[in-house]
Amino acid sequence: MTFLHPLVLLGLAAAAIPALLHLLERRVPPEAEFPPLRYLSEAERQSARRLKLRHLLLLMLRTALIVLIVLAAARPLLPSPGSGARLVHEPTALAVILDNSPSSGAVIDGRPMLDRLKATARASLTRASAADRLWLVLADGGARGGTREALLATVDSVGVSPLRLDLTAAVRAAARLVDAEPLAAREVHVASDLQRSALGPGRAAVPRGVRVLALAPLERVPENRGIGAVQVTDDAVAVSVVGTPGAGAATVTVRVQGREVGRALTAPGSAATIALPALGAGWWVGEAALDPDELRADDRRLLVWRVAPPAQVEALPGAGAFVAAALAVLEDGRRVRPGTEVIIGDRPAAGSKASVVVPPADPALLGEVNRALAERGGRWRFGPVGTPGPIAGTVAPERTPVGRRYRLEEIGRGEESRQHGPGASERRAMACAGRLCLADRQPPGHGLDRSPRDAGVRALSGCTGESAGTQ
Amino acid sequence: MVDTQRFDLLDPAEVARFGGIEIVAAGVVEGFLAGIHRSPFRGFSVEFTEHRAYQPGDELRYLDWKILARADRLFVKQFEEETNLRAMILVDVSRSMAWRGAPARLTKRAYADRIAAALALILLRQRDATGLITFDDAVREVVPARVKAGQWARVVRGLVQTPDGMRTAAQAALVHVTSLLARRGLVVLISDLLFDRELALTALRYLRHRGHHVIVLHLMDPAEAELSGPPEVRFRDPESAASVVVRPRELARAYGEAVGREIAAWRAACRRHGIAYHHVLTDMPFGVALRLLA
Repeated sequence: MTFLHPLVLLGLAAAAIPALLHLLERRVPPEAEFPPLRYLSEAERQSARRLKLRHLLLLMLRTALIVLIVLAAARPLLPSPGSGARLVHEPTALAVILDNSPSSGAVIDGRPMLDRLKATARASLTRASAADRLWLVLADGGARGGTREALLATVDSVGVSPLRLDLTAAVRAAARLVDAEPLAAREVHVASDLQRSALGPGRAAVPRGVRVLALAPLERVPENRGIGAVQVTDDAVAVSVVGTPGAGAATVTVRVQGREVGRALTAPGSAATIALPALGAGWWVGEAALDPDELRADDRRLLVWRVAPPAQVEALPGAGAFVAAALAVLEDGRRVRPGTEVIIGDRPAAGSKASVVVPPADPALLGEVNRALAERGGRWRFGPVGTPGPIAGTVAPERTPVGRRYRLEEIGRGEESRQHGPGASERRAMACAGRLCLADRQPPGHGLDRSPRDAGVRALSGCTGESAGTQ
Repeated sequence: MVDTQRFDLLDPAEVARFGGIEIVAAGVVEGFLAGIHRSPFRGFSVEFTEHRAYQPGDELRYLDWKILARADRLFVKQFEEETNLRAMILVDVSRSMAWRGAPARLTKRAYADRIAAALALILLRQRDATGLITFDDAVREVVPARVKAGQWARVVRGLVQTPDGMRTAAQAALVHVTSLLARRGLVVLISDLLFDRELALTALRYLRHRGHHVIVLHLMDPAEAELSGPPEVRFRDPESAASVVVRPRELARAYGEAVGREIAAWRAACRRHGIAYHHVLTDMPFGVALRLLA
C-alpha cells in the first residue's frame, strides 16, 4: 500500500488522544445519596467484565476512527479486489520514460539492464486504469500515447537503441505533456539507469502538481570500457579507449575483412596503434573490438576506408637528376608507379592530368617556360629572379640556403600575389640547397586518398642535383 | 375540590399536601372503605369464609379433611374474624427510608407512616387490637396493641415522634418484636428491606412459626427501581460510608435486573415460608397499596 500524501501520516500521533484523554481527564463526579447501593454494587460486579470490554472496544473504536481519518487524508492506494495487483487510484495522466539508450544494453549480474528498466516501466503501466491517460517516451524522445495494453506491447518490443536520450529534455517535455491534461493527478515515471551522460544541460522545469518519480535506479554503477575513436592512417589503425577511470586494461583487436591483423592491451584513457598490412587499392572493411564487458554496445567499432592506387609519375629530362632519383625511391616503395598521370619537367607536358613544372636552371629560359604555361592555360607564371638568401617559414627548414628565387605571379595581375592569414597558400618557387621543396603547403597525395588532388598545373621549386651537390 | 371519597386513589404526594398523617390517613381510609362492606382481613373465628391452599406452618386443625379425603389435596379453612385480631405494624425508620428520588414524591418513611396510620385506623375501626413498633438498628418506639379509645392517636403519635434512624439491623429488631408479641396475630412489616435478606427471613420465619400471619410491604422509590441520573455520579449509601462511581446509563439495565432479582428472591422466600409479600412503589396511591393488604 502506498500513499499519495505520506506526510499526513504524521497525524497518526493523534490516535493517542483518546487514551491520553482517558488517562488525563480526572473529573470529580457529582455526589448523591442512593440507598440501594447494594443493588448497584451487585449490578456493577456482574457487569464489570462486560463494561471493561465495552470501554476497551470504545477506546479502540475511537482510536481506529482517528487512524482511519488520517489514513484517508493520506490518500492510500489499495489493491482493487477485481483487478489483481492493479491499484485503485484517481484518474492520472502518466508519462513513462523508458531509457533504452545504448547504456541500457549493459549486462549486470547476467541480466540486461534494459530488461530491468522494461520491468519497471511495465509495473507503472500495469497499475494504470481505464480512466488514466498514458504515454511512453523512448530514447528517440517521442511520446507515444495509447491504451495500457498497447503501450505494454510497445514496452515488450523495445530493444536497445543507438540513440542517446537527453533525460532532462525528456522529463521536461513529459511534464508539460501530462500537465496539459485536466486530470486529478499527473505523474512522470522515469525508468533509466541515470547515466551522467543522459542528463543534459539545465534543469527540467516541472509544473506544480506534476510528480516525477525516478524508479529503482541501480545502486551500483558497473565499470565500463569502450572504443572512443579510431583513426586509420597510411599503415596503421590508432584506437583510443575510453571508460571508467581506473578500470583495468582490455585487449583491442583489429580485424580487416574478418581477419585479425593485430591486437594490443589498452586501458581507458590511452590509445593503441596497430599496424596494418599492405593493402591493395580499393574500399576496405574492418573493425576494432574490445573484450566484452557489461556494456557491449561500445565495445566494437566498424571501419570503412579507401586505399587509393599510387599515382603514375614520369620525370622528364628537364626535371633534373634529383627528381629522377627521388621518383626511383618512391617507385621502389610502391608509392608511385611509372605513368603519365603526373609529369615532372621544366615545362608543362601535354597529355597528362597534371604537370609539375620545375624552374629552369637558366633564368634565360624563363620566357620560354612562361609561354608554355600560358599555352596550357596556367594561371601562374614565373616572375623576376628574387634575392638569394635563407627562407623563413615551414616550407623548408630554417636557414636553408637558396641559390635562386623566383616569384610566382598570377597571370592578369602582373604583380606578386601573396595571401596572408591562416590557411592561405604561400606560393613561391625557389631553388633550395640539396632539397626538393614544394611551393604549395598542401600535403602530398597519400593517406586515405592517395590520388592527385587535381589535374591542374603545379609549380614545384627545387634545385638540380648538380646544384645540391655543389652547394 | 378533591373528592375525599376517592382520596385513596390520588397521588400520594398530592394527598400528603392536605395535612398531617391523621388527616391523610382518615381520608384514605374513608375512601378505601367506601366500596368495602366488611372486613377485608380474615381472622380465625368460627364463621367459615373460604378455603385456601395449605402452606407449611398452617395449623393442622384447620385442615379440611373432607377435601383431603375426596380430592387428595391439602386445603385449610379460613374463617371470618369477628373479634380479637391482634395486629402489630412494624415500620422501618432507618436512614434509608428517609430518601426520595424526586422532590415531588414522598420519602419512603412518609409513605410508610401514612400507610401504617391508615392501616391502623382500619383495624381499630374493626375493633381489632392494633399496635406499632418502629425500628432501625434497634426498636425505637413501641405502642402496644390495644383496642381502646385513643389508640389510633397513640399510634400516630408514635409514628410522628420517631425520628429518622440510622442503620437498619432488621433481625435484631424483629427478634425483639417477637418477644413483644405474646399472642399470635397479624404482623405487617413496612420496610424498604435494605438489609440482609436471610437474617431478616430468619426472624420472619420465627414469627410465622409462632403462628403470626406476616405481611411484608416492600417499599421502593421509583428512582430505586430504575437507575437514572447524570452521565457519571458518585452514589453514596446514606447508612454507611460506602460509595461507588457509576455511569447510570451504562449500568441501568444491569441494575434493573439486579432489582428484579432481589424482588423475585424476596417474593419467592416469603412464599416459601407462608409470608405475604407485596412490592409497593411510593408513587402508588395509598388505596391501591391497602388493597394489596386486604
